[in-house]
Amino acid sequence: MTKRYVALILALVLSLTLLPAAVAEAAEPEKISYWADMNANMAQTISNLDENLTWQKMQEIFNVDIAFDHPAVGAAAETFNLMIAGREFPDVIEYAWNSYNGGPEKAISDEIIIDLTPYFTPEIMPNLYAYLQENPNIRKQVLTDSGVLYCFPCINISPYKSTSGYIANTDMMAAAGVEEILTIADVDKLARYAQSQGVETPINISSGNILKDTAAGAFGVGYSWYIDDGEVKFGPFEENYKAYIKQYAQWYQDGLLNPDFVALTNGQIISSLVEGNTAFTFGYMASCMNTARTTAKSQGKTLNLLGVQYPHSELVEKPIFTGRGWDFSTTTNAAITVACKNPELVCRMMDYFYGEEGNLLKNFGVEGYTYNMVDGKPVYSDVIMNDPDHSWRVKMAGMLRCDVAFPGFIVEQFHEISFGFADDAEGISAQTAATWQLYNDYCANYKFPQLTPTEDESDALADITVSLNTFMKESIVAMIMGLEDVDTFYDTFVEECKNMGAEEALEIYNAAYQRYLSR
Amino acid sequence: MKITRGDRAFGIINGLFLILIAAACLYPIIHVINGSFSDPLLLQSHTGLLLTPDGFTTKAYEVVFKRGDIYTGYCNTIFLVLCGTAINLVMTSCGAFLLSRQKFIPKNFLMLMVVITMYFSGGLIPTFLLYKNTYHIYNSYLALLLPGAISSWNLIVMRTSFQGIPRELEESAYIDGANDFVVLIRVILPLSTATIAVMALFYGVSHWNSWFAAMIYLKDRSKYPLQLFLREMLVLQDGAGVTTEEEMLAENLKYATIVVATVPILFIYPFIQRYFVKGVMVGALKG
Amino acid sequence: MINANVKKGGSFLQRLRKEMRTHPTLYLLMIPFVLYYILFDYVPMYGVAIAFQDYNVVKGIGGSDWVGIHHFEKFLNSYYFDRLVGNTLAISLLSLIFSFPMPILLALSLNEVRSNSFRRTIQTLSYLPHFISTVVVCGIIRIFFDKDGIMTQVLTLFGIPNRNLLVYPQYFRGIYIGTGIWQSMGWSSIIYIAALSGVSPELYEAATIDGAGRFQKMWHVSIPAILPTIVTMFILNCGRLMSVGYEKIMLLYNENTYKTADVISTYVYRYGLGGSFEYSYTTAISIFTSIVNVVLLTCSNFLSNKLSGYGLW
Repeated sequence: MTKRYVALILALVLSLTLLPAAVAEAAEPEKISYWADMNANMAQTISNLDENLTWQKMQEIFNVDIAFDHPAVGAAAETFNLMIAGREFPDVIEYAWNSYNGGPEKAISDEIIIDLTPYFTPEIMPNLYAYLQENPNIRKQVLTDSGVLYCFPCINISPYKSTSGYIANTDMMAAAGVEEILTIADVDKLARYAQSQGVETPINISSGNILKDTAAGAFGVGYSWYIDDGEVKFGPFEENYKAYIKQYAQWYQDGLLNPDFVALTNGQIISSLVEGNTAFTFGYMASCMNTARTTAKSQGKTLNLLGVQYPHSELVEKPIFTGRGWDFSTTTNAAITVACKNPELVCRMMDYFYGEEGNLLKNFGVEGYTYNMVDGKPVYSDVIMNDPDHSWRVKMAGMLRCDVAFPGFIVEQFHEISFGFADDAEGISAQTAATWQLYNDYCANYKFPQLTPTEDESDALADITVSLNTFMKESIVAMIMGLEDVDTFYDTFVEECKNMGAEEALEIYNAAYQRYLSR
Repeated sequence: MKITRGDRAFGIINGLFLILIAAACLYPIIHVINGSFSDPLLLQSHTGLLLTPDGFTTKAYEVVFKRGDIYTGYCNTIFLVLCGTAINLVMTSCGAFLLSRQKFIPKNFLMLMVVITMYFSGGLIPTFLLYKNTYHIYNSYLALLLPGAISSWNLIVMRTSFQGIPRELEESAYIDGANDFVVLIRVILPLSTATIAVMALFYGVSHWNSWFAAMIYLKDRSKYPLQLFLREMLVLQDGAGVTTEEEMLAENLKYATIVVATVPILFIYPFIQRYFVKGVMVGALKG
Repeated sequence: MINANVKKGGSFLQRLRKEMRTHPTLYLLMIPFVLYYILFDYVPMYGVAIAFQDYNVVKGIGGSDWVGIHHFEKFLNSYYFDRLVGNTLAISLLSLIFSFPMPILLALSLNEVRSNSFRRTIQTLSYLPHFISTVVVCGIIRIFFDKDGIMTQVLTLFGIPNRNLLVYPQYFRGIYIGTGIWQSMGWSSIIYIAALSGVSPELYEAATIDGAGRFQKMWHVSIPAILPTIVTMFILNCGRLMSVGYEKIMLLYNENTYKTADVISTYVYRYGLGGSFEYSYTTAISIFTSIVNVVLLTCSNFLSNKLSGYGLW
């Protein structure tokens, strides 16, 4: 009898101990609340990310139930601030944490988000850990000054980091005898020839694209703050800056630069390109170059455009700037808040995106449905590319997470589609895209990094730079338009920049940069 | 009645002046309608007047109406306009009545109270926290209807109109033993139909066009008004030239959303206009 | 002024008590009215404290440090202060001079039209621009004032060069105000049209019998009838001289026209673009402009009482 009882009790005990495990097997999925911005493309097909294919699969894989919350489209910044003020957080927030006043570390000390460093181990986050170990340059961009991981970063691993650049009319180039545009002198030659042929505005670049690193870079300086020789520099304080202004002033004076360059819209540039009134401009691949080409074609006009490399002046051997962005995109990044009860689970889940399968799920979705493998490479299926009702961009936004800043990698296929490689039989887009990337690596040495000034520093910087920016734009435009003589006015201009606190700002930036270097 | 030559010349010049103004004011809506049907590719680089659509497409309207929430938006907006305007009119006319009483002792104090609010407000964050944590009207239409119940500007305009009503009319009502409320209902309001119509129009249109409060205070998309849905279509992420098709369609959408949002309002105006007929006051005087 | 010129009879409290007895409904109506203003305008006003703090969203008003009038000083000493205030006042004063009379003129002009259908058509058309978003209106303005644009061509008759006129600082205010009239004239005239509809036809008949022409009737009957409305609107407009909206200016200005176009609101907007919402600073600036506005309102009200006998109080 006793044996039986013992056996029975043992059986009971055993089953009782096993029970939780069995329950856990079919357990209720863990609940996670997630706050993310919604854009206009997404809103066309879905009203909540719960309807998004990538996220549906993720919730299945990790047995979680994510409740997504979205601010109204276009209201992310306001709603975020109200959420912070109300101190009611969801578990995960996607936001531009790098621009949080005082930097991400301040957001941690303000008890909004948590330090992910304890979870940043080969065990919990194997994929991201390995990736950042292998890529110290990107690691430096992602971690904070004191080496803290605060978010699941969005990293652009495609070779296409520069999506805009200079565009020239190749027919005019041929007629002018300019084989290739490499230098400012080539641009000058092309423009002067075009002018002699009655082209109205040979150089058609808007002020926004002249008052920019990409224009100043041809002269070996940055438009405002940039890096040179391991320290932060301020363009106007450097020697070659004057040459940069003088060049544009010369072009303006000689009638080569569009005299209305301060009030120039993309639409006006396009119509000018189509009418053959422009030899050289600056723009984006899709919205400028390809739009102009399509428009010309639809009107039965011949228009041969080609992206040319970022030119340089005789003062330097290479242009120091291209349109490249940083690999680590700070637009929005997901971070875990103090409200989250199981950060480890979220870390494991988000780390999936940095692995091979997760990368495919994020960027391409489900094999056989939204993509197929062709020669070992994923290719979007007709579900994405040839939907009868919606464009590929809208389908991507609704089903995948490849077209926005989102944890994981941005891949080259996305850029190739958006550049329109497939529709471009002549290969102009591909050639242009390649040309614009030429000096990307060189540019990385000069490009101003994503520094994180402290709260006091950012306040001081805001006070200085808002007025300083206005003053710089206004003065440089005045010099280009000949309202102020470059030679006589330049020193006054620099002096006034100093009066406005440019030197002080330079000091603050240098301090922040030293912290950045020692990351 | 004799019409002099001067009168006739005056009439002709006046008519021409008005036609010129009307033409100038008609153009933008023609531009918008044509723009909404134009080929985005051509539209982007269009110069000069847009008197006929440049190319033809209905793509923008398809995009707008394909989204089911547009209809939800229309319903919500109509509800908000009706309720909101009703609240506005009751509150504003009561307030204007108080401020228009000649011998009302607290009148100047009330006026000061009203004027101050035209200039000083608590700012977005404190107001939001108060509404959410103390008044508990977050994610409720009350947050859209109550805070703007009186526009101080409209209140002052309405008061001016109430003050213009001849005193004798009220006096006789008071002599007949009416209290102030009766005077408001029986004398002041019937004599102010034109002003009330204007106020209904001003308030109604501002409710129709408003989206900011909804954006801040509403959480459920099912409660969004029309304008918020329409706005969502216009706010494209800064694609930095990544898209072609969508970016260009945005150009059409900019126009199509105006058409979608404005046409219903245009139909209301003629009804309001009826109340602007001359001689409303005379009828009241004689009746 | 038609103020409560109360007869000297007893103390203030006595008079108040007496009025409460004779006009109880007035005091009853006052309750929801005052309650509304307290709940939705005065309670939130504690937020004004932000301007005197180094407000931090996380710490809230309770926890942020007090800095006194630091932010006000910062704005008064900011590099472009003079220019921002100057441009703001210039634009709104010019608007007051040129835009303010236009809706009145339109209303009077419509009042002279005998044909009902013609009047209604014109009236309906005239308020259409009000419904078109600023972005689209500015798009149209850009096309009109571009080189060879329709407005530019008209203006060349007056010796203005055929160029993109938005490039020139000297034309900015003209374009801003001119197009502002076009945008708002019809909509603003509605209030005057309503006021004119209240004028008794008998007054016009009497004037006709006295031998008045149409112009004289307009001058002696129509204008006096809407004068209180005009004065009220004028005073209210004086009370917002320091406020010029940012949206239209942002869409039309450029680096070369900053010197005539940059106003307080556009400066605040650019300040906010930095990403760190400078709530304290921007609140301080808005309080500063409000104070100036209140002073202007009070002055214009005082002058109006003196000159025309009408006023807000």
